Amino acid sequence: MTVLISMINTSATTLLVLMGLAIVLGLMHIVNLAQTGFMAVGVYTGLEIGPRLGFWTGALIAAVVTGLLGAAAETLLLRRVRERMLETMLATWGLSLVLTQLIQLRYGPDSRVMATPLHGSFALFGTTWQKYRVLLVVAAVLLVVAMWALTRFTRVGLRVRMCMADPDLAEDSGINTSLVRQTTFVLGCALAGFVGVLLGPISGISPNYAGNLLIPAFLAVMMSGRTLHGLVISGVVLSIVQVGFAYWSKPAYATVAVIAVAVVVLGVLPDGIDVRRFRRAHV
Amino acid sequence: MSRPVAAAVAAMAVVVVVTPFLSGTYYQQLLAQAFLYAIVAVSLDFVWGYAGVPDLGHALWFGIGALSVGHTTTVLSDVGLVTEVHGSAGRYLAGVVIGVVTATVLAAIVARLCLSSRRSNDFYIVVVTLALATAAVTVYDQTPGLGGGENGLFGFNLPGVSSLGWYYITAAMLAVTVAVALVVVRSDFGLLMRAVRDNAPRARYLGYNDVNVKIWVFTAGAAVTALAGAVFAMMTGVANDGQFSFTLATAMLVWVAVGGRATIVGPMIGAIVMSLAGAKLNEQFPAQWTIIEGALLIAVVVFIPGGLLGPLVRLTGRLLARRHPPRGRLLAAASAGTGGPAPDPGDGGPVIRIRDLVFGYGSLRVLDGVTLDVVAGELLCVVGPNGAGKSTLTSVITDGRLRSRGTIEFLLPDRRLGDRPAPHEIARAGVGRKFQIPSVFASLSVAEALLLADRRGALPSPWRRSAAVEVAPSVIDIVRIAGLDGRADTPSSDLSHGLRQGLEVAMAVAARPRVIILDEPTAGLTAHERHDIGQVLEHLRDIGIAVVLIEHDLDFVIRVSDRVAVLHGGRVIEDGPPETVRESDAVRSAYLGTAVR
Amino acid sequence: MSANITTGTLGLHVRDLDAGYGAATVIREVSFDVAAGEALAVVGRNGMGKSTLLKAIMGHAGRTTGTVRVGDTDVTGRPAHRIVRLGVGYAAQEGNLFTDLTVAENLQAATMHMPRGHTAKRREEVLTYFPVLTNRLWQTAGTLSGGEQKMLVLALALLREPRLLIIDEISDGLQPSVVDTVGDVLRAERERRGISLLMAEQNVDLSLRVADRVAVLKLGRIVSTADSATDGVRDRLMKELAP
Repeated sequence: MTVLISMINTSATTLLVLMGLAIVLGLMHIVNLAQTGFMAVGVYTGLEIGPRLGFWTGALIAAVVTGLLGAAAETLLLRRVRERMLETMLATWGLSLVLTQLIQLRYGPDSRVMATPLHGSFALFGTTWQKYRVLLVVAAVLLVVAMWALTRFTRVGLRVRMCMADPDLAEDSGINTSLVRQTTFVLGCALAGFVGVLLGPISGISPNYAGNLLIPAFLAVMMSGRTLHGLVISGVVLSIVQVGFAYWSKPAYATVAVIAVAVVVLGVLPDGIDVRRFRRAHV
Repeated sequence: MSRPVAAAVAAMAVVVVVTPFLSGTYYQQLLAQAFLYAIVAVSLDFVWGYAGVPDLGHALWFGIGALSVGHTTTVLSDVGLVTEVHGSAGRYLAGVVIGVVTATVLAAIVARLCLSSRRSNDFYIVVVTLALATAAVTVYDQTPGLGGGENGLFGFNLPGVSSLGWYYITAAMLAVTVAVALVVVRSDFGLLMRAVRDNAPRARYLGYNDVNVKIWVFTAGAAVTALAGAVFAMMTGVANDGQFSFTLATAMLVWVAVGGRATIVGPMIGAIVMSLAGAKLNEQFPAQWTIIEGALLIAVVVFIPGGLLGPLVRLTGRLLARRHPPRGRLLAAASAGTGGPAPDPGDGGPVIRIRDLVFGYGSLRVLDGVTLDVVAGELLCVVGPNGAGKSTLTSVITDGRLRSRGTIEFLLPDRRLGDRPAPHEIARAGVGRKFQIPSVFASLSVAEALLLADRRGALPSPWRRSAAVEVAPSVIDIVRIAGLDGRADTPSSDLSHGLRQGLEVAMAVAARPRVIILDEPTAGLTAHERHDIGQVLEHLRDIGIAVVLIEHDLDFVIRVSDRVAVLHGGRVIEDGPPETVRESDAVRSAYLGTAVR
Repeated sequence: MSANITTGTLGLHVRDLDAGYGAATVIREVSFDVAAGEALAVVGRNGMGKSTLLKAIMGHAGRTTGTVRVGDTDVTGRPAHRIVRLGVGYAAQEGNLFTDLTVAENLQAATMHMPRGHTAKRREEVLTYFPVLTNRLWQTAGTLSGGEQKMLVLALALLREPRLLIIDEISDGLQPSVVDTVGDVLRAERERRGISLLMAEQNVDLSLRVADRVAVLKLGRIVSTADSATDGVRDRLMKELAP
């Protein structure tokens, strides 16, 4: 039972982290290796603000701060290497180093803890559930549902889908695609900051915050075949593998197992997990 | 070796020999470490700069080398503390060998998994290499019995070697590595590495197995790095998780990026300077130093793609290497016999027999039962409106793995092909292809591109640098007709569109094909250039090659072709001499919209 | 966006346009005008540069020199959405539909930049031109037949109530009856709303039926222009285009 709960919790964490990555990758073809850097900036902002103005205010301000950072990075750096995937990866990787080390300069390398805004636990199905962790699961589900609803039912979502499907045609339909792309990147970064704070109370906080979450999230994005359901399936599968290995074998092997699963899945399904993949063959 | 090169090498040798006497043991140790890092930088430049494989977890190989030496020469307690050092020469040697072999085998597996997948791209490679390096650190930390866990292993220095000794050993190793690297990148194999980096599909359709080339280079780079790691561990007596870490892997990237990718010497200098500076600064300002590294990485990648030292190194290299003639000066027609056998004059039999070929995905059928013969010594034109499946037909013929149904038989005498051969196998068997959009190797000169084409997939020597490029006389004719003579040393990236079209045709012919498939060789050409290309095609047909021309300029088609096949809706709706096809109602309606009502 | 987007008509003025991709120059020194309310057809066989010409006007061709004016606005080098928001409708030859979206979503996508309430009536109007589409609203656009897709493409362009319509080989791959329908619709739109029109075509009959003037494009240059009403113009064009 504890394993199951742990799997659910890890899935939630992974989904929270990978959504930001996936939006930015899907729309801008930017592999944002600075995602954890933004999460770290977010969580330290939360640490500063939280005790004074409350946890949730801290989370919102963190989102604003990382959003602004994202806007600056997009305008000053990433725009210059647009559509060159390797260059954006290296640039965001450099950015991640700079952010992490700046935090270390300011706050030192020591681990910190963040107070949880929701204490206590309750019993259900013969086991105890911590309220805050349940809240995170709910948040992850809400995020996925919101993304689905947003892209499916709103004009903003249609705009985003148009840009993802065919940027040229979106331009021909009167959409300012570069504005949409910029906004998306900023939103992805803001989401990273917000999620950074959300995960604060359940994690040890150090400048290398969330470093261990980046790789599973990226592997999941890689496996997903660029669809929302693919993302969810990949995130959950990899989380289950990770927790399962950590529980029945050694945590160290879990990191290797996650990579192996991703590579094997992509070996079998080169287009990733996408039930509609039959339409997407290339010549 | 030319005189300036010899002088430069001699000067460098003097500096290297003298330096340790001007500094204490501290700097000797630092420099020795810097030399080992420089070896790593050169190997990463090989992998990333020349073969184009971005290995973000290159520290993994270094760590494996170091750990292997540490593990074989120490005895650990249950919690992973070093209790005893077992320092026999045999154990050190075993440590080095095991480290290098492990890294080589693992790298080969990783490379095969990463590079041979159809999904393979930079994103895939970056994520997997990054993930492996992270996983390695975690495994290391949580397995104390392996390498002492988070404490690492220490105290197992190779006894009896002084700092000065290490200084000279590492300097010699670096000299050998750089010398070998320079020879290889200047060799014919170096040419192939650049070709694969610039344009892997093109290399594939010239008969080279691009995936294998990348796998070899990646594996070799890992082996060299593991050796450097092993020596590093013997010298310092330290093995720990830091040698696997992101931090070190990033530093390696920075050395190469700052030094200038694909220059060998640049990354070497970058590694020495940056690691010395880093060692000094890191003691006082560890965080600041990493910030500088990160900022440098961003700056070089975004603002100075050639690297800080790249332009300087290239310029110096050009000045020093003036004695190496560019290959193109010696572009010449091979004397009879050495240019490879000329194709048999056409005997009228088919060389490719296509039956009921189907290709599609989902409910969409791009090719819907194509039946067609390609005959030696005949110029066959495949025409059809946009979206008729012309380019798809080319792809499906030249890559046996693509088709959904139907058969393609290659009746080529000199090689047996399987049922669904890979593109490079088809190319080696004698089927040449010219892409619709001219597809050349940006950094290769005309002569270099022709040299590779002429080899038709035979692996070039990693040491020898062909001074002269000898190709079949017909290729020289094409070079002349296409206006490429006198441009043999021009990099392909500097050629105009028309000249690139010409180069593509010349490359396809240089491979001495029996069948040559040309996808719209006239697109974007002026009337005059079209005429010249037409002459070339007729010449090829006359020497017995089966020429297949995908084209939609009907004037051109009717002027040059012997036979025309009209593709429409994924099927051949007409197949016959040009005059017949010209009169055909079906063709008129497909082309002019003057529908027959 | 202003309300006057739906009124009036816009001319197109192209001067010394060169365009191409990488090292290839496909369009060479092309100059022409489409007066406000006029319709010009550019005919030429495949590979002569018709699509590239239209793409260059919309800012989609890789490398472009020369000037393009829409009405009084110089749009050279502007992103396509700015040109579209001036009141230009563009229907590309390929990649002109969101094949993964439904027909209804495509219709919605076409008018994202326009005031919301306004478009409902126009949608009805445009769908009366192509009744078959009303039965296909919830179908994914990629699964429509070739002819239906072309009708949808035209419907999308018209939905925006363009003052200048630019269409690239709408007749390509269409059966004759559908070509007739397309011709009828274009004529009706011109009569009803007086729009300007630039069409790239291979189909001479359709061009003559819809356009006031026909220009012939050969190897990236305009080699001749003729008035559609001139006697014997059809034969002359056919001769110029025939293999």
